[in-house]
Amino acid sequence: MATVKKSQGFTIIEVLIASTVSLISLGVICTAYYVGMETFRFNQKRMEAINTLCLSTDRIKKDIREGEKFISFVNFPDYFSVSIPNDSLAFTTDDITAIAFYFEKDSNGQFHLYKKTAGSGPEVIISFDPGVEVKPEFSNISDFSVQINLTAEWIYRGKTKKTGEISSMVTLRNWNR
Amino acid sequence: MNNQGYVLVMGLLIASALLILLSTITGTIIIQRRLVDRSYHRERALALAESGIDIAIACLNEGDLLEPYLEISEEIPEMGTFQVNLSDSTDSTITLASTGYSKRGEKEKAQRTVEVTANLTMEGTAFAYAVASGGNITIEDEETTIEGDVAAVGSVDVEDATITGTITEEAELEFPEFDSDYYLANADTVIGEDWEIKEESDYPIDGIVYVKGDVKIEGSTLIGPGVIVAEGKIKIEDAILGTSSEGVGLISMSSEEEAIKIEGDDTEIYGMLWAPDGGVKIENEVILYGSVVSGGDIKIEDGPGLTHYLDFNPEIYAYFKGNYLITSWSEIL
Repeated sequence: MATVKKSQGFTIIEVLIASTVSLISLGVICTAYYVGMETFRFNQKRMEAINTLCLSTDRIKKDIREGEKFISFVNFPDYFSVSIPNDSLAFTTDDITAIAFYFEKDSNGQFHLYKKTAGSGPEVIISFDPGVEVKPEFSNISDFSVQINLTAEWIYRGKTKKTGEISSMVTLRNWNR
Repeated sequence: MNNQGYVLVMGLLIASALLILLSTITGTIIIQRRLVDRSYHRERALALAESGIDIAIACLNEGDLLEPYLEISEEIPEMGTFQVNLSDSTDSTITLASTGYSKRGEKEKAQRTVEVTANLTMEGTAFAYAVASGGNITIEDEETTIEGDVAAVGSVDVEDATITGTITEEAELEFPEFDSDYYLANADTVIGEDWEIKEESDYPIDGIVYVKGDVKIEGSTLIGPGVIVAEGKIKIEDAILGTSSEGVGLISMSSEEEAIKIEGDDTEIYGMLWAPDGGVKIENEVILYGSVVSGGDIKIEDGPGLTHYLDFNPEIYAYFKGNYLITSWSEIL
């Protein structure tokens, strides 16, 4: 008489344990993957922001070196017919030419570095990625030198993350000449 | 065949695959983070190094650094420090090596060194012209020759004279700011009264000679490199000042019409003339190699020959507020 082999299955306990272990493992993997991708994206954004900060400083430095005298914000109206932010960095390059640099957000929330030459409209020199916020600080350290501090922050899903900060000292090479 | 245990093997295999995947992702992120950090700090270190160069050049141009200088260092909070070493200084060329150290807290994260060579020149100043005046210029006599450019904030009146360069009227000129304290503080010799040199041969003018009165030089030969700075007027008659390499400069603080007067058929001057507030008059067959700059009027008459010349030993340029201009830039790796 033929015997029928009884097929062995999993007990309910085994299935439950296996499912729990699998779920936990998947959770860990998914979280790690998500965090990894977020970090990856943040690092990419950070690199781009740092590069743009460096480009901005270089661009400002290049013009300052041609400068002759810094202009205090109280005197901005004497040089610029259109109003510019009080925290702009402004200087003259000769008796008639004045240049101002400032950062401003457009209607889409994107930050740009503007260059305004007296007598002409502001010109966008450098644009930052959407979501990147720039905090400029121009502090005069003497009559002929200024310290430029630029900080970039990335606002992502309501959280602000500092991406980079760069400082540079630069001097007016035509000062007093 | 006994299949018992294959679930465990499969489970281990899957767990291993997931672990490998996890560690790969983590590894990639860590490497990327390090690369970004490294790049960030290297950019900051370069910005710091360049800040050092800017500050050092400004100090040199403002005369804040006098030999033996030789080191500037400064800290930018939350950024790092820079250190500039000035080396290989000759009279006209200086090499600056600036190292920027990017820091996080007290820990140094990156450093970069930039080396530049700067030359002392008169480029960009009024001395870049043969004759430059803050008032008017009058040049007379057909035998008068000027080799170089002539520019005046006012008018330029040329009667019969020969001028090889361009003539610019109503020019926007950059006159150096005169600082008498600088000359007095850095003077090698201070003379407290009027000064006269008569019939002297090979009289040395070494560095700055500061005279608190008028200066008169007659029938003498003066050897540079140096500059005579007078609070009063300067008059030169039949004298030879300087050579083509070692110039002798003249600076008068007088605000009179003839703050500097050069005359005599045997007068030969190698050097620069500067009257920040007064006028200059050059007459007879004076030969002058250099540059004439005045805040007032300039009159040149009776046939002098003036050649714009700035190939002196550039030590003299410092006395006339020359600029250090960067001629080469390299990064030391």
